[in-house]
Amino acid sequence: MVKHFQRRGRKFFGLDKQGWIKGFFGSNAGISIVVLFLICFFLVVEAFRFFPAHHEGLKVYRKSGQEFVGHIMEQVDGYQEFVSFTNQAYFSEYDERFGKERGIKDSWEALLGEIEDGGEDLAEALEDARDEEDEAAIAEAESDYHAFLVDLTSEVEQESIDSFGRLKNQPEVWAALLEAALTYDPVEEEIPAFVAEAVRLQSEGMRSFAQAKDDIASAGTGLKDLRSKLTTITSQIAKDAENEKSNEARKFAILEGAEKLEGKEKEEALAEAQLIIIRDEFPYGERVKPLSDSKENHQEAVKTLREKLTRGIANLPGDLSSAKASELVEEIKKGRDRYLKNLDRSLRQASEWESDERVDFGESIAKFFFGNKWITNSSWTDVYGLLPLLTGSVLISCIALFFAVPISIGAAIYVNRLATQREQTLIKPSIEMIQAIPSIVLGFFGIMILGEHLQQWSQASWVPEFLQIKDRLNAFNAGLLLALMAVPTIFTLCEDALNNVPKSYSEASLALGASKLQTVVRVIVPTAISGILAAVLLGLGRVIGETMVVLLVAGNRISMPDWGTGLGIMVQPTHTMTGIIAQEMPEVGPGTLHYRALFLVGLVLFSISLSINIAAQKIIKRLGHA
Amino acid sequence: MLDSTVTPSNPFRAASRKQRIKDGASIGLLATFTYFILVCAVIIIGKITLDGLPVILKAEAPFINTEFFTKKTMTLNQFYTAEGEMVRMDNDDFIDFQESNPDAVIREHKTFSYAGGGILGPLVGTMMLVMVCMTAALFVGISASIYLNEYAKKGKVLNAIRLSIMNLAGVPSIVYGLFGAAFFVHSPFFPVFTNAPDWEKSLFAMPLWPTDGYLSFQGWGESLLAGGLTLAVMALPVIIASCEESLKAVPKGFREASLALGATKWQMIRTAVLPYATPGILTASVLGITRVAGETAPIMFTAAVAGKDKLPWEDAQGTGLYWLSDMMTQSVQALPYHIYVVTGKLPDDPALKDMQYGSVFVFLLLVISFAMVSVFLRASYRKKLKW
Amino acid sequence: MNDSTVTLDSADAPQVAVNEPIISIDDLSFSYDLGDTNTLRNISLDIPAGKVTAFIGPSGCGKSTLLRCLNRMNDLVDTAKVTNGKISILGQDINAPDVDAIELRKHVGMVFQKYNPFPKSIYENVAYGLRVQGIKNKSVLDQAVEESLQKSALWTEVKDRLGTSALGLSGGQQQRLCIARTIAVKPQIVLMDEPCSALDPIATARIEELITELRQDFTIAIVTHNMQQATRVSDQTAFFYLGKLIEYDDTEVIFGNPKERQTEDYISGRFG
Repeated sequence: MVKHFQRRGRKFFGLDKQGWIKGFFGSNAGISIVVLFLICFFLVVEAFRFFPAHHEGLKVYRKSGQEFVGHIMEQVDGYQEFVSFTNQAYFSEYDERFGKERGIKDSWEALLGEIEDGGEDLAEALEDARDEEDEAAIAEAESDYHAFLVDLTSEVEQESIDSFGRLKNQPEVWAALLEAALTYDPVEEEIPAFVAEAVRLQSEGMRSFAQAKDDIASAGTGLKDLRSKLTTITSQIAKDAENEKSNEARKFAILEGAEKLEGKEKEEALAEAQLIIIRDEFPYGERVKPLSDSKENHQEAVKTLREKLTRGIANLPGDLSSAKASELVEEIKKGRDRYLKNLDRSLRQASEWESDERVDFGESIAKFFFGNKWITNSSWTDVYGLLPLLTGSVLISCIALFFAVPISIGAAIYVNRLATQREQTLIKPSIEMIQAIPSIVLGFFGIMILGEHLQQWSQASWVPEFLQIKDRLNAFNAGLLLALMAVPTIFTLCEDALNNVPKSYSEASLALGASKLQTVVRVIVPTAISGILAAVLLGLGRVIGETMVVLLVAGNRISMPDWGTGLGIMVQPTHTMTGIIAQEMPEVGPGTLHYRALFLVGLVLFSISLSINIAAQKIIKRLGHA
Repeated sequence: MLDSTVTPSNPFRAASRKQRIKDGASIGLLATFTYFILVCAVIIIGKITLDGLPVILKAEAPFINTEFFTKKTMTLNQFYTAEGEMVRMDNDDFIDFQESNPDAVIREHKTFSYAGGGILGPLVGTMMLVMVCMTAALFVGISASIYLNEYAKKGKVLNAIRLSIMNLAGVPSIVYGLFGAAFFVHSPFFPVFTNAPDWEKSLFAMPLWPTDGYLSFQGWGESLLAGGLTLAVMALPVIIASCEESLKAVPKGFREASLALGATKWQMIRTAVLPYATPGILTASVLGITRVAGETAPIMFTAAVAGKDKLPWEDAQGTGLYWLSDMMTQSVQALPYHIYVVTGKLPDDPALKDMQYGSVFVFLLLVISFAMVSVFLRASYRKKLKW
Repeated sequence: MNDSTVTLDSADAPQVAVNEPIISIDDLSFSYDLGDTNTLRNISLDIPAGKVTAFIGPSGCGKSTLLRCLNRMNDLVDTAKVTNGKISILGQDINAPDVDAIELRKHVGMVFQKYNPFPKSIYENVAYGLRVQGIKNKSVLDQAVEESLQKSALWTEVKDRLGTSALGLSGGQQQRLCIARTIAVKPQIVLMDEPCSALDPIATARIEELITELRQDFTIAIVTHNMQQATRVSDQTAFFYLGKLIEYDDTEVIFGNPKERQTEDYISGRFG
């Protein structure tokens, strides 16, 4: 029988040559699925292993009593702010009202220091001479001393007037001071009258403020002492507990080593091994006894703090001459109630702390997603809270889109519908070229050039105060650069969407007597709206996933934005999800809690951009059906 | 009624002045937006060129500061001489200087890491990374696009592949970096040829008789291979998309004619499709290079290091396969990462300025010229498509 | 409600008596490539008011181009240019510098070959032309919409679903909607560019009926490929060939007793 039209060639494993070729190409195409799967897989595996480890860490934190001390720390930290604010207010008021007097006093004291340092021997000689009542000797000593004073004052006057800076602008006072120094008697130690007067004036004038300041400064002494005492204890507990985990391995290693030793050395090693305790559970209960015992002390200390602080703040003088001081006092008074509330809350939490209370697994998840602190490499305890990073990313993206969306949609409308043919051929490739500018270059521009200029411009008088830029690197700077990165993406996609609007729509509109602009606004844009929306979404995706610009330019301060400043949050430094990964990843070892935390952040980022991408695809698809 | 010789007034004169002004103002605003974008770009590129160009030029022939391209990155020394003159010197020059003038007075000596010498290391590193990346990405990308365009039939598989590609395109670059770190750098699935396996990491090591080396599955570490492949994964969606475009541009008639003459599918692809798609594929590869050469985030934890004294091939040990394997698993400097190091990680100082602007300018020049080539190639290729 | 302030821009235009020329084209030449080649060559013709004038001729003869010159739709092509002659509508040279194309189009409406309602509701489609003239008064709009839809014989079919998308209508309905949209602005002249070429015979018949009715209120110029259609709807017919006007006369004359050989060949189907 003759066979026609049959396949020729040999088969390998059930496939002929054509089948193998197809399989080869197909498997290469399949790589994209595999890669996407692997990305998900590796992110998820590393990220999800964060939670058990985090849980473990939280358990130790509670058991070792670090949680208890953490509350105290929080209280102390809040209190310290009052102390530093009060100090600043005090000194700026002091300078404002008694700047001259303070200058006199400080300069006199500095001058006196110089005199006493240099003239110690001469002063002794003078005192001896006076004791012996030897007229000649007295006269000699006095003239020696006077010569010394003359030398010293001329030296001081010539060389180091800077260290008496406060008096630099008042040459007559300075001269009087030097004059007075010339007649200084080291035995009588008499202070010149005008200096004494200055001292009296200022101490009287500042008395009530000084009183309040001292009250505030001394309010937290007890609590601070308690903190340092307990910090040492709990750190030791945590360290011991950590060390005990490796006990088994250590004991094994020593025993193994002992096998190779002889005689006394071996005995010693065995004895050492004997000392190493291996037990199922570290005895936190007995170790944290001092902490439970100090709960009462804590109550006491907080009570004192509360009373003294309230009194101190109440006694702060109201009518201050220095604007800065009154501002600070205002701040202090505003912050007081919030602080006291926090104080009560953390006191309650601290008193509720029990070493053996269970830590829910959910807490390790909630603390990550809703935690508002991200602290790593700290000597106390690492905290992984996503919120500051997430808000930073969102904030910067909002700023970027705020600028990029109108500009790129406007440009797309212009280029697609209003520009001449020549403009089109010029502008479109140019904007494509912007897409090619690497993000590191934009980041470089932001850090080297834009930051400084923005800061200068923001000092202009018409800029409201809350928008004045204090830090060169901040969310606004990064947002502007990201806007430029988003522009090509949004522009290109928008332009495509506008291009897809049938020409017949614009013809119909124009034939009805609409102007070009009316046609664009009333017909073209509404028709292309889903494409434009998708473009904006993809622009958002690009911005939120951008790394180098934010790493270099956003300022990298990990904290929740200070909502109190309103729009001022735009010019604050911030940190982002992408930035934190790029910054901390090179420093962490694989498998550590920190490493996994970063992967978890990566997973969150990945999910966000994937959702944005999918949403954009859905929108485009719906457009296709319309 | 109508006297055609007398026109009382023009019935079509512009009626609403307000609308006209509104139109004009709005169109003006839109045009301003458009040109504003271009002005921003010009300012950025212009400023960098203005400050960067002087670094790579010099006054005498050959007018190009060749040292900047041929010297490795090294520490920069800055000091004041006895006369109070400030001198900046690369480390090698400084050592020579000290040897020849042991008595020279050196005051306020300061050193700046990575800010001296040239950018040979980063340049070579970037080129090698791009080469590794493009080799892998083009191989997979072209094959994949051939499958998608020539073989695949509509169905779930095709949908899944298309969906993956589309979603891969939206993954942030830093996430690719994380993936590369976990997969290529730290996971032990990737083998190296070595004489001294890292036993702690190694999954297992196969002795390669008769040499005294091993094929050890220990992962690649931070290396050219890990970084290059991470970049390749990233470039894949772009390359597949543009390769497909060039395959689609080959008319159906060519394929039908070829098949009708009795060619097998593979012969048809080889003779009637690929030759005509080659210029498009070339464009795709240039586009891919543009995309990956500018990236920093994916190589930060997969390949790049701040400083390295030797080029990869100078540092590689062993011979043959061992040498190749050792070279490919070296970490490298890379130009974008170098820029990050000298601007973001070092404290700011005027002494760094030359290195900063020089590197940024060279880098921008490279990337922009590749981008221009790709835009030009694509434009001319699309114009030529007239079969 | 103050209706007196709401006037359409087309309302104040001079009126032209029936049969007087409303459009006069004088020795017009037109080019799509800045004058290198002329698509229309030395065309002169007067279109009378209140009549239906049909433009016929083989593809590419310039009939659509001429139509698009009449409301300056060719302005959209950057390289389009009138190289010679002029067009006067209502006695005004429409290419004069002080003529605003937008104003012109409010007087000279256009219906396109392929029905092209906006992806908006039926109501919004009809109201569109009024809205771009700045009319916001709801009752004026309502009235105009109803009137136009009634005139275009669509009212009874769509009055219960004015808010639904226009793209849900059948092809013939969509084209009638486009006509309604055009006449809502009350133009004096309606240009129709092969309005039935995308429709089935039944829909075509309805449009033709509509055109016959509309001639009472509007001057209509219609481009058509279909010679039967020209005989059915038009009063005058102009035959174009290769950018030139070959013959222009009453429809009966053109189809009954053409003077030119080319016209005869064309209408008898010998070419085209």
